[in-house]
Amino acid sequence: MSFAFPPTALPAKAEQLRAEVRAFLAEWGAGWTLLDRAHSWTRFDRDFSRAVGARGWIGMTWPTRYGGQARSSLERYVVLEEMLAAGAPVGAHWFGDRQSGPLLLRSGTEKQRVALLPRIVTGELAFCIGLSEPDSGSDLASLRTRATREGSGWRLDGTKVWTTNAHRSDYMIALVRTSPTGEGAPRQAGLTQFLIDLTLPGISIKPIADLTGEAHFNEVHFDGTIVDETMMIGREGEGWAQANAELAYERSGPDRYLSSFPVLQPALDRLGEDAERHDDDLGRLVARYATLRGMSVSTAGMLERGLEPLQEAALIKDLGVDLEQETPAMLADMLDIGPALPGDGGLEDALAFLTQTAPSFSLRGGTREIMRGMTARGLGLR
Amino acid sequence: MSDLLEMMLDQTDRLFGDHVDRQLLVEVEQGGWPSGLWAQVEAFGLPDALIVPAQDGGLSFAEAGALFASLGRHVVPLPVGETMLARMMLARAGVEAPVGPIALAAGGDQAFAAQGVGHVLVQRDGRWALEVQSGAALGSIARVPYAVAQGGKAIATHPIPDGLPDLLTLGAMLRASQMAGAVARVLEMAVDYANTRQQFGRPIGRFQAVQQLLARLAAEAAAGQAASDMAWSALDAGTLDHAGAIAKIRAGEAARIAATIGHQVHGAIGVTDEHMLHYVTRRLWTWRLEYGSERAWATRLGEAARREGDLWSFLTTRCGAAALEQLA
Repeated sequence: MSFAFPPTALPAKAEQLRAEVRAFLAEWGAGWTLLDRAHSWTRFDRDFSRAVGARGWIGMTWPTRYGGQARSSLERYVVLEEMLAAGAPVGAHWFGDRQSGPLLLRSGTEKQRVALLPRIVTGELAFCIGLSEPDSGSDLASLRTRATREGSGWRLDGTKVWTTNAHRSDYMIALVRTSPTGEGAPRQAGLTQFLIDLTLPGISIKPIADLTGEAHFNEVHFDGTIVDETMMIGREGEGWAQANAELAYERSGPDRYLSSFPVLQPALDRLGEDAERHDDDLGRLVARYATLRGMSVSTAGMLERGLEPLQEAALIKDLGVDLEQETPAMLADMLDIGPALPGDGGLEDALAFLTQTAPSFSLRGGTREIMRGMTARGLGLR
Repeated sequence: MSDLLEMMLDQTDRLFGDHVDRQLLVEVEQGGWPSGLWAQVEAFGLPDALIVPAQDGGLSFAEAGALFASLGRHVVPLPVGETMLARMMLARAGVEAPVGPIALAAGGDQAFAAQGVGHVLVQRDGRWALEVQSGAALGSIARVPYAVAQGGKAIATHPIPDGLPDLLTLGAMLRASQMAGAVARVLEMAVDYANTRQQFGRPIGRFQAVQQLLARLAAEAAAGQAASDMAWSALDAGTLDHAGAIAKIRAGEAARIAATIGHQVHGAIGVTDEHMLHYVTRRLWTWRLEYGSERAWATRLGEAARREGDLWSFLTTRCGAAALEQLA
């Protein structure tokens, strides 16, 4: 009944890699403000992604014939956690590396793999994820974007929403309905994944401003967009299972507990001598971060062994987003900094940004309530 | 998990499952000493299970941690873990162990579980001392006697050997594992109850509000267990550093939340004397306070992290996880 996270080691090779990544980030990070860093994996910088690609740190677990390095998930983990702890602008390659590439490896055609994977690896191609729709959030299986056969292709009609960085991406992998929900048939049947070149005619992408005044997510309309039949991923009607398999990758990574981490040390530095008064709070935070890190590494080990730790990933995400959500409020409180924002991209601005984005931490990638529902199912309660 | 450990855990699980029930706990809490159960624990060789180091074929600390969690899961009212750790310390110094259970005390003013013990291993500065138990028995929420190690006749004293933490840390790690096991038990009881108890014409576990509570409890259970397991594995690998503190803090937090949710799900029946739940939760509340509270450990951990001056480096190198051998 309980969920196990066996202690898992990072191999010595991975620790060597850590030093290389830190040196790389020290060089690149010289010009990043703390506000930049607080944007975490939504910050999009193609130059940075190409440099990461040139170091061989994108798609590094993929087979060499697709440009990968056939390295272990645990080595990859070290690269990811170093990038996130430093608040590096990984947004341009994040989704391709985390989800789209692994999906193509598992379910894509050879032609798709050969055409796309090597270009993800170099940091050249950016992907976004087309799941949510205006009327389909947590109830994803109710989605209505349609694909209907037309000649040797498929015609897409419908709207995807909350698509992070769609306005800057090259491809979307979308889950759409290819056959109507029949009487008595489960709603999860008849869903199919497509690879969509976002430069095709009939696609309009509208950024949606959020509460910070910035716009990183989008509404994406398909109006009679024709995609070639070779752009289908996996099999027609198998999209639900395929999309779910991606989620173990999406939910268990360090991106689910480190979003607020980059501001922690700067906040302690600002506190200076006063930090001593908060040793208790800091110790509790450290205990939670360290435990989540151990659990997250353990999950990377499960992925490395070919398991699909969906339940474990949901559970980590539940715990992780609590922590990254609580961190900015706790720090602002300790600092007693007041509401005035200097606008210099420093600590106040970064904390203000995180305070406003924190609510989305337990929404994106599946809400807290959906995660707990998955855990409840694992407990045999539904 | 090794075959040997699996077999041993299987057997001890059955032993404790068969013998540690509400009736036995009632007897113990009324001052009885379960000598029959202790004799069986001795017959299994548990008290001496850590005497032979892992590299010579003995139990590893990670394996012992799994056993400690089982002790917690069954709320075994015997100082089995304490005796295992104490006898390990004695064996490493070549000191012959006294007959019977031994308690662990972290210092002169720290109360220790004195139930049925004739001897106590006490932390005295950087050394351990084996003393005859002489402290007066005090009460506890667990309704077993506690005592303070003062004035007992010293039989032997030695420095804490290299590679092992002090008794406070060992005790904290032991309680962390026991709490993790007991939290798993609370989860199990709460899920069973939620699946059985009917209100509004259906089991209460069908209500999302209850499901969300139980999912939170499951997450806490997993976190407490993971933190404790990491600490014992790190001790095996020689990289313990602050992992013991982290285990006690995280498992203690899980214990607090688990007791709250466990009782909430059980409703009024869970706080009645006749119910088993409080035999588990009263021990969780007791164990949280032993060998340093969460706040006491967190203050020390926070101070160390602050002095490091680089929190990320602290997390990746000082928290026990970095240099572990591949265990899975």
